[in-house]
Amino acid sequence: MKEPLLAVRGVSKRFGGLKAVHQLDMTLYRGEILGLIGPNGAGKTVTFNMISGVYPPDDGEIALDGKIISGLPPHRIAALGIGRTFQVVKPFSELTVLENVVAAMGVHNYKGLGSLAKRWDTGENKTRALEILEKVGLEDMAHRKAGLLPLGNLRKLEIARALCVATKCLLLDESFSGLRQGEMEQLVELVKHIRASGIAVLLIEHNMRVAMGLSDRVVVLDHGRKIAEGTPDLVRNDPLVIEAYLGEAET
Amino acid sequence: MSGYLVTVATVITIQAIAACGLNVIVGFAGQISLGHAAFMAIGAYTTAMLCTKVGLGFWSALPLVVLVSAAMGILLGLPSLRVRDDFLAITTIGINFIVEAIFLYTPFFGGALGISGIPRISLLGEPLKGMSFLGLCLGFLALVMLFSWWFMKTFAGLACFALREEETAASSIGISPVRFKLMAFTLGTIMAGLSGALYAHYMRMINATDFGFPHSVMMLCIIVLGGMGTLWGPVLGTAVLGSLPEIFRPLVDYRMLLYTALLLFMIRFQPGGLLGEASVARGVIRRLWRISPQGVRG
Amino acid sequence: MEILLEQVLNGVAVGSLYGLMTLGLALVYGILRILHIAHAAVYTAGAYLGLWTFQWSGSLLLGALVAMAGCSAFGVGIERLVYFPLLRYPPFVPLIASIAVLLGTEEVCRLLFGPYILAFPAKVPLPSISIGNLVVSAPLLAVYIVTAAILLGLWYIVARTRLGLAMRAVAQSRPMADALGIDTHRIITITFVLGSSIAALAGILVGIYYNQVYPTMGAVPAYKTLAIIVVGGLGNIQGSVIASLLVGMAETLLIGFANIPLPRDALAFMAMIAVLLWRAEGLFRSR
Repeated sequence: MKEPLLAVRGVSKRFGGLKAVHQLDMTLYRGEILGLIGPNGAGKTVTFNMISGVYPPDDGEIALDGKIISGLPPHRIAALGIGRTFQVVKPFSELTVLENVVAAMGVHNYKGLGSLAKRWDTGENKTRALEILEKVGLEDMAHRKAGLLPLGNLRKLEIARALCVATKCLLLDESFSGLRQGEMEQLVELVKHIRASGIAVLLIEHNMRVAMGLSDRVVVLDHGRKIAEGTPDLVRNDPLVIEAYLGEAET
Repeated sequence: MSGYLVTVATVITIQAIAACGLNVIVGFAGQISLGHAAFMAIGAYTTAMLCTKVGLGFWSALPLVVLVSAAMGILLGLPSLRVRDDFLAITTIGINFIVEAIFLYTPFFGGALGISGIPRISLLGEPLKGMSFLGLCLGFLALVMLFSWWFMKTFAGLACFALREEETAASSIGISPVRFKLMAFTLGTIMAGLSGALYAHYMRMINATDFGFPHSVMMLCIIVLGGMGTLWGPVLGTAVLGSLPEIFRPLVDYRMLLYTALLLFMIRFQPGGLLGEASVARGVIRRLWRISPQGVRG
Repeated sequence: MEILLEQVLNGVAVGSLYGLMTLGLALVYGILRILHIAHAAVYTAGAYLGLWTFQWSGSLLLGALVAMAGCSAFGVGIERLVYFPLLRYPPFVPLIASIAVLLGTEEVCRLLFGPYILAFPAKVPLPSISIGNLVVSAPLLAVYIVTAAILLGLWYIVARTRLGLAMRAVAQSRPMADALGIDTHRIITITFVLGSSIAALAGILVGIYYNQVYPTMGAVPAYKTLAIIVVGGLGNIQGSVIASLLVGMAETLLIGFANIPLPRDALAFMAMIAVLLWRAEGLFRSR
């Protein structure tokens, strides 16, 4: 049943003299939620950025469904079905919440030429956008300017946007931080729902309870290297992992 | 309508067409261009050369004007748009100076004397002047504005808006920054070229110094003050800033000073523009008509 | 051979003058990330203030001091009244305001002093040096000496003093500098004072060297120095100086020897575009 969807093989990334990620091997399987955890500076966001194309890996390769995607620019990777959120939210501030989502719905229009000329403000598009907003609970804010929303709602908007793009897998970068308890529970349900619909989820999360509770499997990074991998229970008791986090607590 | 008013209206209309182009670049796609006048020059010189040296009429030259403006937009835009914001401003300034220098110093383009003897535009056998020429210009302005209005409603336009707001997020939803920046830039340069061509046939003689850097600056001021990214902003901005020098004309010597003082004052206290979201004017309009704020404005 | 040497000396002088102007521009960009086109207004004001003071006092030194003081006030005024309130808007808003200040200053100078080219007949208190058939005139020598002195002084301040350290900190990261307890606004003010004083001296030197002072003397340098700081790497001081010298040399030698029909001004921009196509950040890394 476990089919590999996203394969990260031998990936490294250097910034100046600093090695941010070192020889990382990891696989995201279809239909699973994979948690990427580790102390600060472990290289989690750098890994995300390489997967989503913000910058290419220095070594190694990343493949989606067997096809190499490392080195492709972000907009091409989006078109291939990988959607992501950002740790620092990036809403299209002057556009309304609805317009933010419709913009994301156009992910396949932006590739072509003729499809670019299609109108975005059709009733059909607006209806579909509202449906997506309902999934994250933002339908009441549809006509608010995105820049005016509080953080919790902005995180939901990020997810709504990413959902339009993520036909194969969804990358969540600290999407739970800054949320209230009730919002977190809603989001956990949403992520489970997304998994159920066949989309794999790779999430970076600082909140241990959420990460361990939600993920099917967990990969632990420390100083750019993978130090553990497995089910949350297995990883929780791994001495290397405990040491990595304790080490962080000490400094 | 008096001859004087027709003149002012014509100049404003021609200017507004170029301003609409700059609005696509700056207002829609969020790129800065301080070299827009250079593309007006390109349009002007293209039609001037074709009409005086090759003997084409305006209507035959028009498709070539569009083609050349687009080609130059792509050629000059491609390296410029790959660089960061600050660099882009300086690069477009550079484009302005270099294009102006090429037209000014190359004998083929008439050198310092420019090109004269440009024929009037004829429609149905009648040469257009005065009111009828103004009518033609207004027609082109309407065309350009209609295009802008339509563009705002397409996915291409939405892509540009998204790009303007947040480039990284835009690329994460499939929008290629270079592609759409270039698209907006080229649309802008086409409109500038059109404006330049109309200018050439209006003035009947052109000189590279007509399209210098100060002209580009003024156009940027026009769209900033009129309200960027709006449909009517460029027209309003051109109308106000275009008529101000005329209003100040009686003050002759202090005209330029008052003009720059007013510019400084406006930009300092209403940088969002006369029609921008936070402007006083918009607030008044909103209250008068009870319009609720829209995201993508018209 | 001598003609070549003469042109080289001229080229270095022109480069030095550009260097003085771009120093202020680079300093301001490094600290505020604003393209301070109005710097040319400060430069023009410096030339006029220097000339005017010289005319009624007869003293060049007094002229220089008054110009430096006046321009410092002018520069700081621009920062406080124009840039500071506009920092939160997209970068072209302060840019337009800066251009408006430049145009306005040109007008004020024109209205106060007339649109004509005025002469600056100050006698520089230096000897002219003859090496064989080569003559290094007093104004030329003045340009070299003043530029060297300023570069040395600036280097000392930035590299060796606590003030310089604070300046570098603010340029790197304003929030960080704030957190470290540095009075960032005071540092910004000092930067403008430094840059504007240098611009004032540059204006006076140019006025004496070319014996010309006129209202639009800042227009061309305004944009050319922008191209130069891009070539040198935005905000990089050493880069700006080196780029200035290179551009000054290139302009003088190319105009003197090659028959390129393009004006000197376009050359700086062409150099800039060429450099940008090669390295997207300029010749040197920006600080």
